[in-house]
Amino acid sequence: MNTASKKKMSPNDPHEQDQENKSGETVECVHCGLPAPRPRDESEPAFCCNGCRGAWQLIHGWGLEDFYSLRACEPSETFADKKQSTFDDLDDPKLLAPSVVKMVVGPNGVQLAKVRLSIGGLHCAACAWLIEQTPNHVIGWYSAEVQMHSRSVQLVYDPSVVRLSELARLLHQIGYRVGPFDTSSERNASEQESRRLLVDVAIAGFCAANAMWIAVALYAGAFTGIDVSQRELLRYVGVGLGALAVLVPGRIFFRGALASLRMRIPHMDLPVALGLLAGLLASVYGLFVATSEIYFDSIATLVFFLLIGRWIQLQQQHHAGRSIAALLNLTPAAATRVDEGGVLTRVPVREIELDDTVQVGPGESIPVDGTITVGDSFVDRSLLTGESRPISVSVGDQVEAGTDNLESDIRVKATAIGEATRLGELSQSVAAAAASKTPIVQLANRIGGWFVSVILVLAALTAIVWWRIDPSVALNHSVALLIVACPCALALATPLAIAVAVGRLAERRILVRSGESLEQLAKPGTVFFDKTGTLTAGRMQMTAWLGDDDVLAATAAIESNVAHPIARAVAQYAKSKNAESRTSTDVNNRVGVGVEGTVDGSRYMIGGMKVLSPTGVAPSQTQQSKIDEILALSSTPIVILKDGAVAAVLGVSDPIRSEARDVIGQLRRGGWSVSMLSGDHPSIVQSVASELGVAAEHALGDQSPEQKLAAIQAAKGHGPVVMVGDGVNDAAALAAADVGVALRGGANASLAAAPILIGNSHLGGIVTLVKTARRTSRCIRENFVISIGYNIIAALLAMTGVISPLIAAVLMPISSLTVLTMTLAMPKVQETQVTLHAEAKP
Amino acid sequence: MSVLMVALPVALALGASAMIACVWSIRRGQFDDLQSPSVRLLVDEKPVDAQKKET
Repeated sequence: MNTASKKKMSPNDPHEQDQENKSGETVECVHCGLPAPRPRDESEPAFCCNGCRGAWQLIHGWGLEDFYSLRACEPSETFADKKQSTFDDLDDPKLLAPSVVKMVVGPNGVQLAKVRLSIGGLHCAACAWLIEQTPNHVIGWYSAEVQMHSRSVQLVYDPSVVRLSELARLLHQIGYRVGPFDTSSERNASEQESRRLLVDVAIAGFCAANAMWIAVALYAGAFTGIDVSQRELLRYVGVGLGALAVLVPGRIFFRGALASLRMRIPHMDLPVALGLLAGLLASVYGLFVATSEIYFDSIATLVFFLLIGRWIQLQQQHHAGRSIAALLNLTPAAATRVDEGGVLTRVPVREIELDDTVQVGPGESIPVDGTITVGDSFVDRSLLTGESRPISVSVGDQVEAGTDNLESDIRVKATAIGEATRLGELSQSVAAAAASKTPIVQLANRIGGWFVSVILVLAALTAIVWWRIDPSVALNHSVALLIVACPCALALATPLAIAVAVGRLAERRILVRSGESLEQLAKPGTVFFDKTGTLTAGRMQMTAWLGDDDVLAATAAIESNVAHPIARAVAQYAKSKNAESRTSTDVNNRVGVGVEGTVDGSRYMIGGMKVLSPTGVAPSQTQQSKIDEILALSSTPIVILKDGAVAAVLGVSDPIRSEARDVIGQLRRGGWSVSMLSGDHPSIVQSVASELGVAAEHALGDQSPEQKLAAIQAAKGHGPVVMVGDGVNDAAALAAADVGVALRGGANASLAAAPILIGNSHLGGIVTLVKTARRTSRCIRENFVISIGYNIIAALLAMTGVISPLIAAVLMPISSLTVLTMTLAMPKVQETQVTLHAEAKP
Repeated sequence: MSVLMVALPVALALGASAMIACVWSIRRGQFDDLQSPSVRLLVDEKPVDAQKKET
């Protein structure tokens, strides 16, 4: 690692940004962006932990430090996962299933192993780049090929030189977690389906394009004169292309129409199929029997456009499906079963049955819901509850699948397995939500079905009435009606508009997992903001301290054992004051209350004002006035009890994001009712609220997760309820709201709970999101009005015999094109006036 | 015999060969992943002066 390479990464290297601000106690870890202690020597990189140091050194050792300047994501999104895991399972083919290792012959005739694994922690292009460069630096590892869309990586390695578990460990070291990848049926089937449809699109495109130029030649010939033999040739070839388009790629419409007839449910495929059939038969009739008009070009184009609409829709469905698959990958693939006589066997999780006992080591994910029978430990339940603090568990306690055992071996007797676990239920509800069609799509289908029935009746009527008047034109007029009234614009409009909106939001790093949430955001309702980490920067800073240095050192020693933002702030403050380092013993994290521990024989208890109530201890006069002063500064007071007496008071606060006021103002102007929900002290919440312009009665402090849930439930019924949280601490509330918007990526919990993720953690994204949703919804409605109005007018014209099938065939694609153009020209939401630069950070 | 008798089949054959190439590449899975290839192309190069990116 030379100095030149360090210079290159300067933009992400927080030292240089913080140069003017030497008083700051923390800098960002160069690897993961979390707060890290400032290194003694300014030229040294800062690390928050040894894991990051290891990853950084590894990446630099390989000469891949460009990664840090390439990555476009917030560093903190990456590498959130610092969990230890065992990888030895990957070497056992039985436990590696469903991934299969295939042997291939590599260069020089070496036998190489090839396997596809799922990979977690991919965020942006730089991740793919880093992973694909890694094999160049590892002997025996030939290649790694990342597939972003399926979140998988294909590894080729020489099994006689390296083991798969070593590669997995290496990838884990640089921040990515790998596991078996389900290459089986479902995924494959969806891929096959998508390919088949795309092949049909290609064929239809070929037919449509060629039919089109032949048609142009014929029209030109009709005006300027054309040799009969040439005209006949062009007509034959054109009808051939039209027939090809209808019979080969168009067959799916006939299949849909047949199914619709069998089920006796009107479906959009029915008039499409009838129109195509009528168009084709009329063309063939016109070609052979009479020299009347033929419309091969319009039927080919029709097939082409309809198939494109289908393909877009299919892509969206698959996208939703894959995010669910990613969720299911959270449960471990293998577990240690305790068999009779205490024999431990490693088995795939699916072989675990009810009432089996499994042993879970530290750092492993618990594979089942169950009761602890042996052992005490700490469990990280953030996936399910959003509570990021570890929870102490002991014999008799319930633990859930997908939560992580942190400290020591425990044995768990399974009370629920697989899909019956809470995680399984969560996955299923997410799956159900993703599979449900958005209301507007349902509307399109309903209108479409009704529309179809009406058109069929009208076509029959037209044929009957005109048969009475003039039998020779009856067929012509009803064919014209069927063609012109094809609701393909209707079919195309909705999926296209949603796809366009989702794509545009993705450019702004706002990821929308279900189209339904866009639809819901179109109407104003209630939006709840979490305070910490959402309206505020989420990085605690210590702002006040009253107490002697000895207590500060002891506090820092205890807090250094706790991974909580307040604890970090305290530890960093102590460091900046050069407090001596002490060792703490018996540290006990009492959830929701505080943390206690023993230093130099004295028992300390650190926590919010709540720690005082059970003890009955009161702070002294000076301490009380300090507490009032801290509260006045909208900081959180923390008291430190030493052997049962208040020994010190400190204040921590979290600066408000610079864009928060503007964002809230814009939402309120848009008709949204803005509320705040926070677990913090009500007076802090009130002062933040008044600063941001949120009405006092809408700023609720001291909220437990249950109260947050209740507040969200209560707000339902008055328009959509949106919860904006940081995705780590608010998982339950995010899931309960109609639309959950997670503000920070990386956390699996936020992906599971929130259908929308703002990847750059910028609050302005919410305004963009709401505006885009409104515009999309308007665009869809406009498209509906246009295509239905168009169809009604054209149908009337066709029924009255004003337009011939030829004109109908020209008019029909115009309606599709109008809808297409209008959707694509949907005005983009301007970047909110909020500046998108460094102010987002404290 | 007009030139069209030759030109038309030739044109169709050209179009058909492009279509067959397209179908072949779809079947080979080249269109399965529409995300990573676009990204890979860009990251092959050394990043431009990273200072610019920030501004």
